[in-house]
Amino acid sequence: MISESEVLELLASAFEEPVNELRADVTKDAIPGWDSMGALALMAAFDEKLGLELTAAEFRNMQKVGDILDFLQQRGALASSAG
Amino acid sequence: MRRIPDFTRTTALVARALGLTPAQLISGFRPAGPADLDGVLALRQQEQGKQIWWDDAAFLQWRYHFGDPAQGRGEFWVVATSEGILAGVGTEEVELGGAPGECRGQFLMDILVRSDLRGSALGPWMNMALQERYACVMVFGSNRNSSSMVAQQFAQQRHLQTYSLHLRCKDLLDRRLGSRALASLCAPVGDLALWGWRLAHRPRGLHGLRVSTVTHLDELGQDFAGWSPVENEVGRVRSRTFLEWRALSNPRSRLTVSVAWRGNRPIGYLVSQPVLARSGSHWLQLLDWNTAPDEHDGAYTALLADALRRAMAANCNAVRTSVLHARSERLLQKLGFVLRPNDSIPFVYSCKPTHPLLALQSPQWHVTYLDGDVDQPCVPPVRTLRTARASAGSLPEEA
Repeated sequence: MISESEVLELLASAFEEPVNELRADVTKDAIPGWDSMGALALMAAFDEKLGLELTAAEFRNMQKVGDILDFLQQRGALASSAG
Repeated sequence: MRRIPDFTRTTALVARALGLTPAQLISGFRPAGPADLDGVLALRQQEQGKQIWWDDAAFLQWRYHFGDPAQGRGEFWVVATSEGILAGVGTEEVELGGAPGECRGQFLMDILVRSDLRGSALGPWMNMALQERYACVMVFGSNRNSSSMVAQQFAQQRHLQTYSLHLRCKDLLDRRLGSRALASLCAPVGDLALWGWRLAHRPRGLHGLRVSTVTHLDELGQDFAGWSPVENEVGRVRSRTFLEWRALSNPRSRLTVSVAWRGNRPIGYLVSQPVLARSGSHWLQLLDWNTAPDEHDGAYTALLADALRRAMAANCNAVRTSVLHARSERLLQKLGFVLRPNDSIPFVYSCKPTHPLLALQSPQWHVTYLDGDVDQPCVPPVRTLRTARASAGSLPEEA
């Protein structure tokens, strides 16, 4: 399991984007590093840290940061932030 | 910088993303044969159709041999599975002069991935696979899709710098002032200033030199491979065979080759092409040159002077070039060419530890636009430009 803030740190590394620029509503077009190299870095990070597989179709369907968070939520990998 | 996994791990990740095993991915990556041409054409049409203004079948068979060594110079690699061709990338082996011993490299170009597979990192994987296979891999240029691959997958990063010498300013003023009437009013003054600039930087020392255009390099009676780079310079061996193929046989572009002579001895050549931008701006692009080592400044100056004359006669707005070559760049600036710092072009390469290039201490590269794979549409004579503008397909943006 991973917290949302840890996910954003992971995305910041994969997409080479400052973590404070990443919010759920930020679209992929606003993130220059959201490209094929970003896809590779993200696949590797999900596999290494969470044991999760990311297919080409799943990555392509992600349009914004929130979609990545939803993906992790659906796979039970995102820790709940509720108290 | 983000952490990119090694080739073995990347193979596993990419294969899984595609629904393949690593062994299927590796065995599916192979040189294209004659039976693959239709599939490659279809993929390129599907993914790049709007940008293709040329006869792609003729172009592909000119550039790549598709299993027939008598055809093109390069090799087109495909990732092929039972679903067909998923992706491809072209390679061209070049002989590099200036390094110790026999020295070769592979230029990569024409990379594309089927759009429904973007997100699989298949493009970066193909780059890695070719770097595993070849001792030296080079890339010229990049676009929005490949810029981070180029920046992060190649250890050595250089840039061609772009230079421009304006001949007429009306088109430039049109764009900057946003008013054709105002531009027309100011243009004569601007043109006078440009003329003064060129006068102050006019070529000198051309006595005894002449320049002519050639249509066949056999006219020269000399093999350009004899013009080796000077000490600590390295670059593609510019043989006559290469120039005949790249400059005079390309179905996408017909280029002009001009030669500088001292008496009956050829001392340098220059390859150029008029270019028409979408804005209507029209310039002469200098694509490639080489000179006899002891004649560089004189030959290059004579060739540039001739290029300026031809550009003026053709009503071009400017003469432009992109180059990585310290000696030539110094001369360009001396002749009044101005650097366009936002228009640099990446040239990157990676070598295995034993490759001869790595034995050189800070090599000075000689890389020109012709080393890349970008071609501009042929531009008809000025009097027919209006027709060309009306019917031309994908024209370059005015930079």
